[in-house]
Parts: sequence; structure tokens; C-alpha cells
Amino acid sequence: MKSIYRILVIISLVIMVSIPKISGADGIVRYLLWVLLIITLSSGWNIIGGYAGQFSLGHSVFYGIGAYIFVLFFHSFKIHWALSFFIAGVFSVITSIIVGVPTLRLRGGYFAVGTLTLSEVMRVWANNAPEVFKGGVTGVAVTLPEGWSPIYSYYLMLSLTVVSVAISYFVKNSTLGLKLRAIKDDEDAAEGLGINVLRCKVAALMLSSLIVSLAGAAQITFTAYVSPDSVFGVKRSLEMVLACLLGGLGTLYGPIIGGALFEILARILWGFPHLHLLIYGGIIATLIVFEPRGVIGIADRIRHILKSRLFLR
Amino acid sequence: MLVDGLIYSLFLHFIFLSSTYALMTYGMALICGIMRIINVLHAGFIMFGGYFAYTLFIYFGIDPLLSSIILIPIAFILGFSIHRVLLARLASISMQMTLLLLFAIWLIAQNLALLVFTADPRMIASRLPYAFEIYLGGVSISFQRIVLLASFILISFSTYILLNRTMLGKAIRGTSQDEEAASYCGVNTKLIKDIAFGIGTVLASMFGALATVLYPIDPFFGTVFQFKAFVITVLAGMESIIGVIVASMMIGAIESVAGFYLKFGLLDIVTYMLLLVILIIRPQGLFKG
Repeated sequence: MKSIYRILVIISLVIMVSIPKISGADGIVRYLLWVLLIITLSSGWNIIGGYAGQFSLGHSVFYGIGAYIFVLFFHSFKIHWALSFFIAGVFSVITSIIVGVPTLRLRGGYFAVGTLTLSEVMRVWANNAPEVFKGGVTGVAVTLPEGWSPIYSYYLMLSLTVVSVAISYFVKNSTLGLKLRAIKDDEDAAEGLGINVLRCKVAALMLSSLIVSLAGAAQITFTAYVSPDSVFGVKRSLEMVLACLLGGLGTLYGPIIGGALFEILARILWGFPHLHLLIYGGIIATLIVFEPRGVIGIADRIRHILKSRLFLR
Repeated sequence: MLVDGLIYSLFLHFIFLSSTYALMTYGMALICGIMRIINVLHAGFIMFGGYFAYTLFIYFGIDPLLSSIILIPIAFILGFSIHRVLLARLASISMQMTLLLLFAIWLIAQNLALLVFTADPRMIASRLPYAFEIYLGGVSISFQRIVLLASFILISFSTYILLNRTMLGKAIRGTSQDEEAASYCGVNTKLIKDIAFGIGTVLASMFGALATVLYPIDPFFGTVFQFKAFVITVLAGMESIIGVIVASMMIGAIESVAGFYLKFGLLDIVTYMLLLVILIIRPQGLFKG
């Protein structure tokens, strides 16, 4: 079984790497960029929301900080993109510690409300302080270096996705992952077992925010635009949660499947501005009520039925 | 004399502001306090009440005050069935799933409102019979504020009676204090929770209907109210009517002062930051043990 997965992973990687060589810089590459972005975001969210069970509704804070720091250094100070990228990541990890230590003391739903409030604070602040957040309400269009093509963004995004899935994999199979799962099941019991609950949660938030902020910085290279409402808005945070829920919370493959499904959905709903949030809401509600484990849960059920019907192994 | 006049008008402003805040918080406080559900659908209920009153006024010419009374059974059934059908089965699983579900329902409600009523603010306040100014001690006040204040007093009083002087209120408070003990005393805690959610919905949407007397409504109407209601609820410790009123007065005072110094867009940040600080320092509320 293990070797089959390994071969599948290698094949899909080869396909993903060779796609731009075959199709060129347009069409499918532009579409896949968004797919990779949402997969990266939701696997980043999954570390804190899925593994540790701490529903953050304010991950757009890290996304936005990544984007704005990148724009500040890359666009305003004219620093090389790789270095600005690095700075954005470092800055976001520091922010996650500052944010995490107080808010992660909150239990369950209060953490969700706390982070949601935080993202609103950031959004309102960014809209009202053009001296800190470049461009103010209208946002800022970023000039990319000459000769930059979407293919570079594609490879950047692809490597980021691979890194984030790899981080998810290692976290899941590490002691940290086990501790997080214990925290998810019962915080008091985990504390009783001698787990430093707060430290584990903060570590999870750091990894999660690192991935999300790097994704926020990387999306600048193909959207070339940033504004407070587009990066700090509640919609971004919701998309991460929705993609995770669609695929399966707390699983390694969940965000990947969910992200791909989500982007297909988003494409279908492209032309209906109000309808799409309505349908997101409908899907979240239906999933929570009927199958909180998402597509992976549904697949599990189908496999179960098939097994019992067909007397398979 | 001038300073006296300023203080007097500030005081009036403060009274009206904090009574509005208290009025919008009752529903939230009841639901958060008794079910330990963080009701992110509160804004949806407020919006529902607002559009209900608006529609009745436009098509049938019914006064918002009357429609807020017509609203009582409708909102009660709405809240009761939302809790019975959707939330009751989730409550045992996790608080976060409940929160996410309510958030999803709110998204649906808000975007339905956007589709049906569009994003334009709807205003009926100026067409009401009591849209005139009166002079109280030399300060001009629109009469609608007096109407809101009167309904605040009426609703506070009846909610207080309901929670503190009736068997139902006793059962609700008992369930909120200790569910198991309440069920040993013969309280059907499941039903009580449904009913309490229904009452919370009624209070929230009544505020929505009454607010059309003064404010224009749009699909985002209620979002700011919701955050403020949550701040007040957390401040008040999710317990009593009196606590809610005191906490509303605190928020009203803080906002009156902050509004003096900050630019308009940044005013909401004060409340948000206050919520974060209170959540972190005293999650059990200020007026509790």
C-alpha cells in the first residue's frame, strides 16, 4: 500500500511540473495557480484547525500580513523577491507568537471569535491607515520585475504547496502531531498527561501562519494587487475553512482534495457575485449537519457499504 | 451655562446610546448565557426583524412598533426550529462546529437579503408619524429616540419579569446554572433550550424591527451591532439583565469619549480591541466571581 501511494505522489508531481512545458503560460496554468494557492492555504489552516482542533476564523490576518510585508519590501524598498519572501515569513511567525500566546488561551468557540475579531481589527485598521498599509482603501498595484511570467509564479506556488504538504505530513507523524491530536480530543486530559498545551498550540499556529503568509506573499506575484478588503476580508479565512471541510478536517489529503473541489466550485460560481457566498454557506451547513468529515468521510462510507455488500476484504 | 448644556446633551446622547446597546444585547446574552452558544447569527436575526418591519410598512403600511409585536410568534418559531432541527444535535459534538454552522446560516441569510433587497440602505424612519423633533430642556431630540427608549424600558421590564418571576424563567435560569441538576428537578432541559433560543431570537429581531424607527437598514445591518452585543455580553458575564444594562452603559460611555478623539472609521476598532482584551484577561466576564 505504502509504495502505491509513493508512486502516485511521484506521478502527480511529474505531471504538475511538466504542465507548463506542455501548455505554455496561459489557460490551465493560470487556473492551476489558484488551485495551488487554495491547497496551500487550507493545508496551512489544517495544522491549527484540523490537527489541533482550534478553529481560527482569522487566518486572513497572516495572509494579509504576508502580502503587505512582501509588497512593502519588494515593491517599495525594491528588495529582491526571494529576500522579501523570507522577510514576510519571518515577520508572520513573529506575529503568530504575539497573537497566539494570548488568544490560544481561549477555549473552543472563544478562540474562533477572538481570531475573527482580530481579522476585523486588521481590516478596519488597514482601511484607515494608508501610512502603514500602502495604498489605503483602494489598495496598490504591484509592478513585477521585467520578464516575469506566470510560469515562475506557477513553480513558486508549486514548490510552496509541496513544502506545505510535506510540513503537514511531518507534523502529523511527529510527537507534536500526536500531542495536537490529544489536545483536540480533550484539552484538560492532555494537560493532565503533562503536555504543555499552550506551547504545542503556539507551535502549530507558527507553522500554520508561516505557510499561510508565504502563500499570501506568493499570490502577489500573479495577482500583482493588494487591498485591505481582498487580503484581510473574512472571505479569505472562510475559504480555507471551507476547503478543509470539503476535503476532510485533520487529514493530510483533505485539504488537497478540498482545495481542488473548492476551486472548481468557485469557477462555476464566478459570474454570480452574491450567490457564491450563499452557496458556500449552504455547503458548510450541509456538510456540518450531515458529514463533518467531508469528502474523505463520504468515501469512507461508500467503501464501508461496498465492503459489506460485496464481502470484500 | 454653556458647559452645563454640553454636559446635558452628552448625557442624553449617552442614555440613548446605551439603551439601544442594551436592547440589542438581550437576545445575545440569553443565548450565549444559557446555551453556551456563541450566537454569530445574532446579526441575521436583527436583519430579519429589520426587513420584516420594512416590508410590512412598505406593502401594508403597518407601523414598525406594531410589526415588532406581530414578529414575536414568527421569530419564536424560527429560532425554536433552528435550534431544534440543527443545533440540538450538534451541541454535544463541539462548540466550534455549532459556531461554524451558525456562521454558515448567517452567510446564507445575508446573501439572500442581498439578492432580494440589494445592498441599498432602506429608510422608512422619515416617513413615520413620529418623525419630529421635540425640545427637552433646550436640546432638540428626534422623537424616535424617545420611542426607542420607551420600548427599551418596556422590553427590559418584561424580560426581567419573564426570567425572574415565572416558572419558565426559573427553569431557564436553572438550566443555565446546572443542566444536570435542573433535569433532576423535572425540567425538560432540551425543550427549555429550544424555548430559550426562541426567546433570544424574538428579542434580537424585535430590536431589528424597532431599529427601523431610527436607522436605515441594509444587509450588513447588524454586523457591527453583533460585535458590540458580544462585547457587552462578555463584559456582563452572560448572566443578568442588570449586568447587560450596566455593561451597555460602560460601552456607551467609552464610545462617547473615544468618538470625541478618534476619526470615524477607527471608532469600531476600540470596541473590537476591548473585546479581545476582555476575552483574554477575564473570559468569565467582569461581574462574575
